Amino acid sequence: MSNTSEESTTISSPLSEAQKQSGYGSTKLGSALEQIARNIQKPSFPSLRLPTELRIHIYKHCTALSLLQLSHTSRFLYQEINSLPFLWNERQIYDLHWDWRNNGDGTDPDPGPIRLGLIAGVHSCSEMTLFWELYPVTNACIREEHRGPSPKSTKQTTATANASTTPVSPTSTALTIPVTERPLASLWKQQSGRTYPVGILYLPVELRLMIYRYCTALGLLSLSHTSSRLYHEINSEPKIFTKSYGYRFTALPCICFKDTRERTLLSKAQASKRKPAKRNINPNCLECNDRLTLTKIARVYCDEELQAFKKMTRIDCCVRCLEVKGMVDRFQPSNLAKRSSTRARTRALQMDYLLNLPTELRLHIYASLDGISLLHLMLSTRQCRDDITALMLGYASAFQNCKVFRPREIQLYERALLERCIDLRPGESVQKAKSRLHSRPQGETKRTWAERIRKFNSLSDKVFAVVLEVERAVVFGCLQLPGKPSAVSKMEDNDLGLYECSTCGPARIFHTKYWRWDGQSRMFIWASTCDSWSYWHSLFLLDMHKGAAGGKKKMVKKSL
Amino acid sequence: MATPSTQATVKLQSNDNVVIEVERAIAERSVLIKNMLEDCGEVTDAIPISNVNESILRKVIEWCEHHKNDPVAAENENDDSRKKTTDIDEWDQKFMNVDQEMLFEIILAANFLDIKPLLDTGCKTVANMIKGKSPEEIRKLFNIQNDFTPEEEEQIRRENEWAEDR
Repeated sequence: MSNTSEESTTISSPLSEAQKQSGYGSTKLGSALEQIARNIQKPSFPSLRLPTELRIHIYKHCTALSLLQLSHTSRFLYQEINSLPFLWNERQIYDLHWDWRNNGDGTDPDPGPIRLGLIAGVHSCSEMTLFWELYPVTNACIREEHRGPSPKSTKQTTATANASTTPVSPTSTALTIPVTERPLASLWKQQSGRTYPVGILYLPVELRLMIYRYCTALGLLSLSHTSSRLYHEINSEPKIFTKSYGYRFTALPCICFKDTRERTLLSKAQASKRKPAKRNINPNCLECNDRLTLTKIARVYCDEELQAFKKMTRIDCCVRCLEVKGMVDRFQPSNLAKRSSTRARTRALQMDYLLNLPTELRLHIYASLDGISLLHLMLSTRQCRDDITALMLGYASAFQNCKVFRPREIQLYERALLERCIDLRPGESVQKAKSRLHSRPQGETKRTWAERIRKFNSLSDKVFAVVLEVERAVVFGCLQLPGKPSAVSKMEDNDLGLYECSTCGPARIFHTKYWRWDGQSRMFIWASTCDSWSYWHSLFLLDMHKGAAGGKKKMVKKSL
Repeated sequence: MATPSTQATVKLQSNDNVVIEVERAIAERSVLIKNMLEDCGEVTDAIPISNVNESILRKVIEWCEHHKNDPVAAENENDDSRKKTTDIDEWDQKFMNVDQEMLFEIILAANFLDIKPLLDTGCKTVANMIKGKSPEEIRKLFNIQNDFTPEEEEQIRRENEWAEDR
């Protein structure tokens, strides 16, 4: 105490003189101010009194975490340490992260201030304990022997830590984890008395990958839903989950089709050289990044998993064979057509559900439908029709059961058909050739005429729809049906002959022409509205089916 | 090349400076120690196992003692058939019936000492812990913080919801 009083007498400041003059020198305030002045003149931190070169020498022997802590002690040290990046740049011992040290171009980028994100390791158990006490963020993984955090996750922790402890630097990233959501360091100790957390997140990646190898598909799915880090890790490499038990290879694959708009389609020769990436996938399709989703779960492993699966979803799973049922069936083409035929609100809900699927899945569903089912689905709702139209025009090559023609191509197609089955004479029009085909010429026997018709009919064994594009809209359709179509049931939407034009609005009767190419099941619809061509499901179609199934070859035309 | 050693026991020193003497055959279940002994020949000093503390080292030795007569499985990294069997031997199940901290320490020690069967057993145990649990239960089990943003959660929900049969 005596020393202090001696010092207070030796140090005199202008302020103390003024206080003496004003009579405040003897008050408590005056002595407090003197105390502050003393503190400024004689820093309490001895390191600050050392020459700079000695301080630098000390810094060189500090670990990265120590430097970080030191830089947080005062503004002076913060500025000094950050003004000497070579301290932690050139020396490997600081375990600084590679993200700025090895930037690839040989130059030294500005690393910004030293921060948590640049620290990739600690050097002792005590440092590790300190780290977890100071920065208890769960997505950081720093252990003594293992370089843990990915640059991304570390940067996240950095940002959080910086926000709470250091001045925000220009290079710091935005906050991603609210400080309030971070678990407290004391929580770890309360739980198990240990000084740092353990768990799957704190294992090195290679050991986690080993664990994944033993996980079932459902286990991996559950695990991937626990945190974004595990989600990205598991989904980063499809091999992690595609080889797991219970993974479904044949589920609707997540594929993306090549966009064929404004591109020339591959020639047949080119297309045949390409091998499809997966079975049942069009060669013109590309495989995209696959993700582990509930649809990929084919079976569960045990009763416990069955219970967990039931908690996650209401999809049925057999309690005996543990196989997942009724999931993919929902979007099987036949079921889809059946569902689309249900009426009113239920159907609308189901169609909404369908339309909310990812594009590639919708495309896959549409592309795998047969012609009649596609037509049926197309006519179920306006949204559905627009969606199918857009995808059909955009990804024409994906539709193996349909063929999209440009306006003039339909004539060429018809001509090609006729050329193959009849002797199309030079200069003869298609119409003329058609009529010649369907009328038995004089002199030709009934048998040869029937054979010619059969030949014509056998041209296209596959069920497919022909869609004509005019100004980016499907306005014309030619549908070739199988022998006995069973996928179509009667719809009453367009009964009584009131047809809703797709462009003009409701309730317009339009002119319809149709041809029946033969008495079985092939048909050709050509419908026109007041100002545009339109393609609509109609009663004719249903009557045609009746005719085909019931043996009546006469098509009934109603309401027109 | 050092001459083959005939010593019957070796000393292992944990990172908390506890020396444990074990049979050489048991210690050689660890590929790391085996290679070290082959390279160095006669080793009289304790071999420092710097990353493993005493309790974990004793557990590892216990496992090695029990499995000392097991045939050494041929290494086949690409063999994925093993992942389909997560059945664990009854003794191993009891052995692995420890708290999480020790379990993960055993895994790390097995990885460090290069004891493949023990590592596999540890990984299988963790995989079995994951089995049959919902994401929330797994979070609680491993103390994983749910750091999905609302957008990411919505994305995941949409990814998985569509398959549900309503």
